[in-house]
Amino acid sequence: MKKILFLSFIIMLLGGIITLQDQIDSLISDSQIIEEDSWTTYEKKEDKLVQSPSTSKELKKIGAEQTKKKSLIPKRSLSSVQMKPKNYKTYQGRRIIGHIKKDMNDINFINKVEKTWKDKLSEKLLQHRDRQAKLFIKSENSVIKIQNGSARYLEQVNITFLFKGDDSNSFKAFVDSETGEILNTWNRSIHDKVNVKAIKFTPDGTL
Amino acid sequence: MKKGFFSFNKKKKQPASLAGLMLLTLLLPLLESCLTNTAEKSTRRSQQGVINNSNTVATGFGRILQDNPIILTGNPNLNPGFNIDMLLQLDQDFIVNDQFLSKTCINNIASCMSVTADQNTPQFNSSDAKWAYPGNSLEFLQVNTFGHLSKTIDRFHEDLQDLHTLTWGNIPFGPTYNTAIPEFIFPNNGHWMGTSNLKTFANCDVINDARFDPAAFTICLGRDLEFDDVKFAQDNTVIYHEFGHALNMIAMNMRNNTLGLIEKSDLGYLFYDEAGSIGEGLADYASYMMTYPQRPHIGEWALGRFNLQSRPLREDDPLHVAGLDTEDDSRLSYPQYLLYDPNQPEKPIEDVHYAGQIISHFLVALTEDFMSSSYCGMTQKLATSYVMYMVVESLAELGDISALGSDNNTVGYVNLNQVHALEWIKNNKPINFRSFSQAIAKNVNRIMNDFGNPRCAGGVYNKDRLERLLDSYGLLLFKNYNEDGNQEFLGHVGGNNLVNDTNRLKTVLIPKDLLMYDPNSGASKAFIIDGRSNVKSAYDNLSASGQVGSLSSQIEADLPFNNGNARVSPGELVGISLNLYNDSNSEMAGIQILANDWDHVKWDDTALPKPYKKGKLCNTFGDNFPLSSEGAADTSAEANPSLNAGDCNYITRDNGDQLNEQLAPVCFVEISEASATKWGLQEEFRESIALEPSNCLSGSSDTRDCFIRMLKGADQAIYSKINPKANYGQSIALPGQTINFSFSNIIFMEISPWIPPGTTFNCRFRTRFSNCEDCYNNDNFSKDDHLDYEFSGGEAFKLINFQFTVID
Repeated sequence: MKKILFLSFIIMLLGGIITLQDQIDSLISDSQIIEEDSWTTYEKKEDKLVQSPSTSKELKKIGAEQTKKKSLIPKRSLSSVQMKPKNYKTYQGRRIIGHIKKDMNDINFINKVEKTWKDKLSEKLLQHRDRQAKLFIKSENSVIKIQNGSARYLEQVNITFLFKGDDSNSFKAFVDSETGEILNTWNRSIHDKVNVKAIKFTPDGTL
Repeated sequence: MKKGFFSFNKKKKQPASLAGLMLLTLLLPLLESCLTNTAEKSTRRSQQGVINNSNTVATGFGRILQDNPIILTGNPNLNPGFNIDMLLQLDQDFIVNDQFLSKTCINNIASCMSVTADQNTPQFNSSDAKWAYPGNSLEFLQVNTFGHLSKTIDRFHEDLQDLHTLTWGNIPFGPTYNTAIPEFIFPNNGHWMGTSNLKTFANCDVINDARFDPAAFTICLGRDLEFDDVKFAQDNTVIYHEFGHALNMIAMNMRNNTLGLIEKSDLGYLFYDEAGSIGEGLADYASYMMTYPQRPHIGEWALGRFNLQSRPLREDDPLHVAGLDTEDDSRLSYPQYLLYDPNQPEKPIEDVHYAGQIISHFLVALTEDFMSSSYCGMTQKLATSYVMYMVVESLAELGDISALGSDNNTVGYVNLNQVHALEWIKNNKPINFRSFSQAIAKNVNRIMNDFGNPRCAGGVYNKDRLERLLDSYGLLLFKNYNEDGNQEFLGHVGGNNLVNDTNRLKTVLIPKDLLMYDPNSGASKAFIIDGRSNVKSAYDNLSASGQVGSLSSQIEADLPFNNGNARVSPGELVGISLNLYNDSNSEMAGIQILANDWDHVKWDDTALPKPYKKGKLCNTFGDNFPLSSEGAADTSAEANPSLNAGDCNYITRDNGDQLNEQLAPVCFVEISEASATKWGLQEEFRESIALEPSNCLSGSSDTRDCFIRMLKGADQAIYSKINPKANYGQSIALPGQTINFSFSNIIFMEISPWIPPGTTFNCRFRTRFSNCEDCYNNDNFSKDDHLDYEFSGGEAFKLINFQFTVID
């Protein structure tokens, strides 16, 4: 009898360990650390712009990339061999794009970096918007663009507007690091709306 | 007996029970497997359909719908709320050998794609890695989505690997043509968007919408407006279509990603443009590629059943109007069918999905040629793969921001140079029906018309047949195949494969001079939109979609000066739509009105550092405007063409970056002098009224567009087509209908609040269209395409001058 009980105990213990391992794996997969300082949420409340670090719930809503917590059990993965190393120059910790110059020290910068560039950008995007929306801005890269002999500090950002329900628009942009002005955009959302009338404008008149 | 853990005490009365327990413990796993196998063998359809649960599938397997519910039931009037289990097949489908719906792609991109119900719900855990769920459950919807996406991704990557082998695998000689496929595409994850995860939401909270978000790299599949349980993810063709957009993005940026470039090119930039239409046609073709046997229709369930918006992919589809046929003289041709919705053929609709049908139908016809025993006799899979090779090659070249177009090319082969490539792709030389057809044709010739590598039933796919097929679709819009590219020094060097003009029977090319203002008595030059509510709404939408950037600080964001008086007033943001007319006897299509800066000024202060501020307008564009007496630059000493940078007869080689060259805004201003008026630059006018540079629209850093500035992103307009002897409004609206304009038809201008009322401006817009006879080719070089730099100038365009006076 004792031996039966002991055997049963061993079986149950083994079963328990297996179940626990599943839960640990599940926990590791599900738990995520959000780099909350790289995504910022902006919203207009009573004619004022309010900002806050984006929460994980908000980021899930916009399908944002999230950084996973390091696994307690190291996972093995094959190394990724890069046959052609990425080749770009940097200056002041920023990647240089455009007309690359050998000597960056005598180049003329047409703007400077302001810490408030993100706030200025959000103000331009939200201040006079009628349609209720939450705005999410994520910094992705800081660059220096050189053109016509001059250099400009730019920020590469990911911008998402979240409207009612799961309706959203997102795009990437280069933004002036001083004024928050959008210079260029790409990767804009593609909607396949069905039976939704296109927005049209009736002219006010002719010239 | 030796006593041990497993020794038995003879005196115990339950040795059999203990042995039995041990035996059970040992045999249990085997029994389970046996049970499962037994379950498989006995999986049956009950009156409620296939029993779809863990007991009926093996590890890693599940069941998905093999097609959309309309096709599976054969019932075009299928009502919502039906039992999906009735539509499942007994055979299992491999899903994934994991607890979560996450896929690993080639080159060990872990989690390259994943599926959840929606953005708020984490992935559900199938602890036994079995993916069989009741058909009407949310889990099934996710498994269905994952299964179809996974197949499509595998197929895409398999085709890419084959294409890579076809080109770079030709060891030791290398590719037989200048392939756009990068040699090191796979190690650099150019076959995907790096290591990004394509997150797909099978039950998104959006109504009558499915969406691909390139920035977030997500797909969102919504539901029907009226019936909550009609989900887009139940329709495999919609899943394939949405992934088709991702496929376009990956192909367009294949070279950009491999080279690690930050910015990306898009296939389409306006609400309606030809690049976007091509993108939709390609996404529809992705569905055709994946359905087997080939099914040339998309969206019968999600789009068609309740919204009457499904789309055919071949002319003999019963949805099409009478008169369309798979015979060469009855194809869905360009531009005749650009505005054609087969669901409501009597109503012209300018929409990328309808215009895209021309491309989808052409690609299906090309595929069927490859399958036909008269040509290549390929299987459907092989034929669609070959068509995908040509599509990928074309997009990878056309979307290349490095401006190489191939690892072995010189910079400038395509898209001018890396600094201005995006400007070319967006504005100066966007992808349109002409450039896409040319690229596809070039690649068909390279791959299928190569006598050294016969791939068409032991022979080649004849160039004449290709040209006739293109012509039957109205797509023989190019005169040569442009294998030599568009680089400044090499673009006219090397062999030039010309189109056989006798193959051009249906496609009509029209001289650019036949595009003009409406000449009819009383016709206006332009439509104006300056009502505050309308313009504010337009700007809100355009900025929320990322099409336009910020307004000038000189324009108040609430647009208080917009007064809706149909005049241009200081402080306004104004939308204009030119009233253009087609004076030919054929349809004109893909009309583009460009309002971006271009090379039309001769600068006088080139001894000073840039930006140059003083200069005179060139009048060397055929219309002799303005006259020399009106302030035009002196070109009497210039050769034509000139090799001297700075001359009017010289076009900048790098879009204004070189010394003595600089682009100028389209708008210039009438300046009063002592005894006459002349046309001058905005900077000159600023000085004449002593306005501080800081009050300019672009601030003191750039005073060239001090008073009138085109809103970047809305600095071009596209008209889908203009009927013969008609204007655009008459072509797009039914008789008696009010003419309304969409975002893509309108150019938005910022009007400085500092303009003195009564000031007259002239904006020199450049226009062209896709089926233009003389917009793209240089007859001095055997009809070879214009070199890319020439699109900084005016020769390749029809100039339209738009004059207006600013009033208070």
